[in-house]
Amino acid sequence: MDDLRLDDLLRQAAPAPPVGAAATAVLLARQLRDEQAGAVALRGRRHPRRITVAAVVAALSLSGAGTLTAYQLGVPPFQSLESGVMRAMTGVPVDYTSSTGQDVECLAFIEYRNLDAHQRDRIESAAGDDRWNGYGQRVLDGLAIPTASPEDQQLAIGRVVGEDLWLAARAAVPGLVHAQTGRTDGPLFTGSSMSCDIVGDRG
Amino acid sequence: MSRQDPSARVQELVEASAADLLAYFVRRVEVREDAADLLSETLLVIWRRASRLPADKGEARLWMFGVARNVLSTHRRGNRRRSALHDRLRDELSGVAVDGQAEDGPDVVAAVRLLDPLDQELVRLVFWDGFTQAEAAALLGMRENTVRSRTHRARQRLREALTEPSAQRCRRR
Repeated sequence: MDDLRLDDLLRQAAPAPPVGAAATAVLLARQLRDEQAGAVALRGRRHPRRITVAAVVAALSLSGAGTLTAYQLGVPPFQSLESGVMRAMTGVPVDYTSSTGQDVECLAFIEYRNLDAHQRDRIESAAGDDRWNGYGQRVLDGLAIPTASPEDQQLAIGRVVGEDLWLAARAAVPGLVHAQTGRTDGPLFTGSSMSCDIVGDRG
Repeated sequence: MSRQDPSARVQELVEASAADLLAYFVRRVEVREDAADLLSETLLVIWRRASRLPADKGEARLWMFGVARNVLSTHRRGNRRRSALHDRLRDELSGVAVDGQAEDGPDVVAAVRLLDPLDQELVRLVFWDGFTQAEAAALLGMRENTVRSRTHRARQRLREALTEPSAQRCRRR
């Protein structure tokens, strides 16, 4: 079997949704756009500063984690990374309801340097582990700061997440060293980044 | 990267990719109806962050598939958005399997599933989702040379698997 025949076989074998489903997907995109536009407008009227606050707080939490990343709200792999630093593709979900009833959804990502493919796979597996289900709320509850502002709560959560991701990465990759030690060779944990959205408000 | 509110340009880009995003999930989930949930979650994230959609069409498509990959990685059951359209899509996806394999040809999908998980993903991205190897490297956060060498090795393994007589028998069953 030559390369062309193999490539044709591979392309032709692509599973695809039924034609009708593809059209419905487009309709769903429009519906969700309209709903999201309405939700943003409503949030904007009631709480005009919240999204900004979430971004600033998340950025602050990064400095606590020692990351060298230039933080932007966005989705990997399009956030900036220092040369040589890689970010896990699998985000750890950090979802919680704040003291004022905000539903906050965050994704936190382990960042590292000098890992081989096997070690990267172990990081991805660790980040995708079921133990993270409900993690964000457990962290907040464990902090026992119910009267703190949402901003302070998110700062505190960010610090814990940074520490927990380091511990999870170290457990997944034996010999992993924190970049804060000053080491530059061998497998290094360089920090973490977190992206948050306020998706609802029960307050 | 534009920071304006969602515009007609964004709408056009998202709608042009909606069916491809659905296909992306259909190719990666065990229960095909789950692709409807994942698409909904992905579209919500995209619309929520539409102002960050890259201006370049190719980069915008990669960005959306980056969102999809992330949603797929973190999808959790029991926290799903539901709507009539969402349920309709689940119903439509619950039908018979759709693939382009000839009935009397080798079972290509089964052969792909025998590969290492990362190689499976490379084959899906390059041959099924239509990304270049450079784009696949960007999506996976890998070096392009690594993607090229892994894809080359994956094709060799697939060629071997697909030329074995058992591959033909498997498809005919």
